[in-house]
Amino acid sequence: MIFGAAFALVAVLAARPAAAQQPLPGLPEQLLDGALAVAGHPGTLMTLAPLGVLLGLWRPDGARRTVPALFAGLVLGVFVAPALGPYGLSLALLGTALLAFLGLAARRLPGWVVQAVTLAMGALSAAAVIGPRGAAGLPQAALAGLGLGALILPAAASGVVVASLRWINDSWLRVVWMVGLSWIGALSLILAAFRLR
Amino acid sequence: MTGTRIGPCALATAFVLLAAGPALAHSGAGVAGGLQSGLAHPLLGLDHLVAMVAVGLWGAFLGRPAIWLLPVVFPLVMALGAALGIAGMPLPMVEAGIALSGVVLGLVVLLAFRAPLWVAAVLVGLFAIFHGHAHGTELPEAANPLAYAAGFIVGTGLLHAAGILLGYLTLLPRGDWIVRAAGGVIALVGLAFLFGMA
Repeated sequence: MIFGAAFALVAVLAARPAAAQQPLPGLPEQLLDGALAVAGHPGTLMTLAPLGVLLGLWRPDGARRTVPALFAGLVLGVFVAPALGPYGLSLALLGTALLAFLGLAARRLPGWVVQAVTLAMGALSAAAVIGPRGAAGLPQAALAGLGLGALILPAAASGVVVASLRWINDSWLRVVWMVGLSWIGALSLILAAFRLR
Repeated sequence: MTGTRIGPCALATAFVLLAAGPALAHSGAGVAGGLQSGLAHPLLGLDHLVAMVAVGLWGAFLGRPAIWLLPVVFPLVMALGAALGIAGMPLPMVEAGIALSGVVLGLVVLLAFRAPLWVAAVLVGLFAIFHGHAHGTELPEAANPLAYAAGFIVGTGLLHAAGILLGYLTLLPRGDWIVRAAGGVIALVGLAFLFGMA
């Protein structure tokens, strides 16, 4: 399902008429660059990886259940990025702090809350990484790669959490993930404060 | 220059050099320096150290879910306090609040006070704001602020873990008395800071 959604995102973005005709030889590299940028940009790394941890703590199939919301959020983020201006990254980091608080009651969270948070985090992370100039100036393939990476990152983080909880069936491991999530949330809050100062 | 004058000069120089030592904790260069400074801040500051350990001790006394909830809540609320400090928002009586955290948290451990979970979380969260604000006002001066922040968050977490491990002494015969005595020592340290004796 993840790859299906990622393919759909690629198709949607590639269908844009204005700058769709990029030189063919560079396309795979651009796609790869975009996908890898997700792991190196704080707007995605510090938002989508913690989102994946929360989804893994919520339910074993949490990442799969929220793919449509994440996909919708990413698409929404492409459009709201110029409106958020330079505050996109700060808002995304504040969102990560909220994730950490939600992590305290991860298993008891209602489905609609998790779906809403996933959509919001998808939108904020996309807006943060695209920036105030919007998506118009970015190569289409790189943008598609970015979307692909943004769909894979939380799924991978969630997969690690779920696999570890299945491997070591101890409630302490769950606590360790929650502590890790709270540390990332705390760091994100401080980083946001620096940016908003 | 006579020997009688050299002695006091040498002593004064040695005193100045030794007194200047702790300031180095906040002047490390680059990411490694920032991380080191951040780690050192809660570990070397006795007022921070005793309060962090007390949070872990109290959590261990209260049992699940407080044992993990308090150390999860503390860094998050502490970061909120740090954000206020970074933003330059003043908070009254920060140092007194930090000292009071040692007194109160030490006392609840000493008395083995079994507070409801929400009371414990609110109390710990309230004190976390003071600790965070103190860290936050020093953050901008660090060589690498983000690394400094990561350092003090990890340092705080390690101290909570130390408190929880100490709290497991309660499983031993008469172990709870050892833990309660540790709470008493923490309260005394807090009192010393509160009245400017430390």
